[in-house]
Amino acid sequence: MIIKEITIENYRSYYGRHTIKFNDGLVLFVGGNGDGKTTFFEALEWLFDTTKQNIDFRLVSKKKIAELPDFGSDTLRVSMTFEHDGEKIVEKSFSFKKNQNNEIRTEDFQFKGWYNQGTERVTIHGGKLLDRCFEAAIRKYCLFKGEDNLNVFNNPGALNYLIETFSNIRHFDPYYTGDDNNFGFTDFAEYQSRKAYEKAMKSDKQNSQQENELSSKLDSLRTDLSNIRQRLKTNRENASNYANKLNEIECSKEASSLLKEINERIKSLSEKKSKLENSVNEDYTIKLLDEMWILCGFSGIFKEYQKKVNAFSKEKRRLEDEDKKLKGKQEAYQEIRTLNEGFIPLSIYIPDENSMKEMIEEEVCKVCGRESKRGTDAYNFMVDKLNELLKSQQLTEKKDEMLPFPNNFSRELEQKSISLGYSQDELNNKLDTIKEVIDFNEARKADIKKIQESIDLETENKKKLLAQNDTFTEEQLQNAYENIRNWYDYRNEAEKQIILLEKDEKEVGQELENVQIEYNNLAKTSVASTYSKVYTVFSKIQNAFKYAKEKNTRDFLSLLEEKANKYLEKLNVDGFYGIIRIITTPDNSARIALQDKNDTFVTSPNQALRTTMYMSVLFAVSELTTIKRENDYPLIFDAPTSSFAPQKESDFFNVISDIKKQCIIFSKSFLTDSGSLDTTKTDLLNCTIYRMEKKKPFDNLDLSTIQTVITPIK
Amino acid sequence: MATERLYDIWAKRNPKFETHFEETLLRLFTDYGVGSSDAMSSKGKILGAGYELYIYAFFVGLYAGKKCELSGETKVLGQPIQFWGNLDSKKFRKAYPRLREYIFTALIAKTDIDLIALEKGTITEGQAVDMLKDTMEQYANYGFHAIEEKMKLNPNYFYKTTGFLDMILDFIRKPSEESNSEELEEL
Repeated sequence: MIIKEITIENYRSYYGRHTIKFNDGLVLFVGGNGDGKTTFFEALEWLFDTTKQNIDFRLVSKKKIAELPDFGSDTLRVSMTFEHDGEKIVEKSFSFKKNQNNEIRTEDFQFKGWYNQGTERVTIHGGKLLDRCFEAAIRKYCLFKGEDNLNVFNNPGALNYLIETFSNIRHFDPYYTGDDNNFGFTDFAEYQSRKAYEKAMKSDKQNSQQENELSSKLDSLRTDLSNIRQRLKTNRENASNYANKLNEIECSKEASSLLKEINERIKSLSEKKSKLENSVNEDYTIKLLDEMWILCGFSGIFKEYQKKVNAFSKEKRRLEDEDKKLKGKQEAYQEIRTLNEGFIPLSIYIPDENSMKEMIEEEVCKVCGRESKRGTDAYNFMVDKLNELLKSQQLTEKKDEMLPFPNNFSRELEQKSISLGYSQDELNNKLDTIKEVIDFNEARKADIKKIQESIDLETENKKKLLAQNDTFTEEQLQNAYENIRNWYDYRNEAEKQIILLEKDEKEVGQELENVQIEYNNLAKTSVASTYSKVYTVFSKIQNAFKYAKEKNTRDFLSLLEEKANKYLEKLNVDGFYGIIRIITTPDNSARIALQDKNDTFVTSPNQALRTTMYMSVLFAVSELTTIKRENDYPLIFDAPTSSFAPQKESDFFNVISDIKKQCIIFSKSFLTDSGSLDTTKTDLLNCTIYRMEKKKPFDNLDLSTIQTVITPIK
Repeated sequence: MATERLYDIWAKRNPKFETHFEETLLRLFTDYGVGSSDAMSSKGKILGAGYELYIYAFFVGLYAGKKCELSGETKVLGQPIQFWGNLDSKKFRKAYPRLREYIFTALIAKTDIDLIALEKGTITEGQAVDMLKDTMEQYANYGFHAIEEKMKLNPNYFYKTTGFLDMILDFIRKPSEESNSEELEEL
């Protein structure tokens, strides 16, 4: 929609009829205080209000009323000619009459619209026409009064509207909505193919019992998941609402050095706490296996093993000796000569090869702890025993066959006994290790508890500080404190719930996926196999649309950010300006924030910076919409630059005049101290300028002498 | 002559358990039936592979000094013993292959095998290993029943950080009657 012409007749200071022409770029109305800028703006607001019939006599020009003869009547009218798929007109009017008591009566409210159809002019209700061409929601981004109302995202739902109207997301609607009550094609196809698939599965008698079980499991998991997601959404909204409330209060108290100190202490305590938390590892169950803590009671059992293996080995050797003895082999007699001394020798594997070599080299028997110098019987005994061990390792199969024991598991068991026996100490110490780790963790947890108490105390002080306000009575102060305390509790509770619910969401989602796989596997062998494939395809298509829609939203927001930042840079040539971030909140609304390049949020930018920040977003929005001309609309600002320094104002208007966008701005810029227009400045601007002023002479004390005149300057 | 070690023959086996424990315990605490995954904690599972709970149950039976014959429908675990505790693919976990050797020694200690007959070849190593596996299954089976019993009394017992550890420590602090009597014998 592009405004071509506006006519104002007898609307407050606009005595008589005023028709103003517009072009599709910047149109600037310059006037001082009381010159009718805001009145013009409000006349447009009145025209654009399609919700109610306002025929308040106070809207009527006082000068006109004063001039009206008894029983005389006239009309108040605001009309707009605009371009939107052809020229159209809306006109709102009512008539007013003076009665015998000099009272003004208003009547005959009319809201009309006209548009051309071929060569014919069609009349239509003005509200309907306006809503069709310039819908109510879009007007949120159109009319801005003062500097304080520029944050478009103050309005919940504004972000969604913006995305749906101006991104390509709208094009997804026929295909994907994700809304059970309003299917898009892929939602519908996924739903129908799933139903058909389930029906086919149910008709398959072979798998009916399993199908029943799995499908009821799937249903219940789907319900669970949907409930969890609903609760998650509510909790996210709550957490974000309460966090915003607390954030606002905190921002308003930002200057307080006391608050800064408290925040610093809380930060340092939290860091300390998190460090301690990281040092606590209570994965005791995992340690049972990974650290083999589970062997903490094993030493008795291992001794039992050693005892059994020793007894077995001894018995085996005894039997071997007996066997040899029976065979009467001289060689065997020599080997077991020690039997004559009345004992069974140790297994040839004990001590092991390495230990034997060590003892020979050092000439010490480490079994009995005595010296055994080279050449002594003891030394020779050790050498013989080592040779015997080495020889036994080279025994041929043939020799084995001659022995009574074809197997040699005793050796394996003995070796295990030796090798694991080296770790006996480790086994015995397991209980101590467990105790140490538990004690360590408990001590850290006690420290953490103490730190948490300090954090709680500081937080409590912070709440009290935030509640403080010089103008509060004791009771109000108490109430404010209670509120803040409750918001903290609600926020913390919601955040806790979010963590739990996110975990649940993941688990149930995973389980649902597993059961779905099981269900699909069941289909593979049944007649429902084709239905299953069709369903899988539609489900994948639906997902593809879902991801594409999400990606489109992200892309749109980053494009919006990118464009907004370009404007912000232009509008703040010589100062700090930062980076605009559009942060989406879980409840699908958005927040405009300013960051510096180190990602630190600028919590309270000055008013001029704040204004340019919000306007940059508005311009970015408008730029995105010019790409889609059918959704184009004018931006109308009343006094948006009150806090700007003069140079900044000039830069500002120059930037705006370069935008290919219809912008209507009412401002008192470019007026000299004496109240006249500073043409040296306006000459530099490349836009249409109208001068607004009170027609002279007028009586300072008589409203009925006030009349606005509008003069085109350039 | 046997060419393979007894341990290796045993480690190739895949022990059995009573099928119903799959639903009531294994799928509850482990990734059993889901396939291998790095993200066990993300699914809220306390242990990784199914055999980890099996090992735990075995030690419960072992420390309690009680065995329980398997009854009803049974099934085997997914992985043979030789892979237990290798865990190479798991993040944030340590491998514990030596635990298998300790389990083996416990089975030798607690199984009534005629080792001399085994050495003579009058019983085969296959038969001996069957006996070891049987002992293992019976201890683990007792363990599973004991875990289930514990959960009946307190459904959250194993969800405390010390739950699994406490059950083991309880046996160590209060040695079972069997091990008491063994100690007495030794004395």
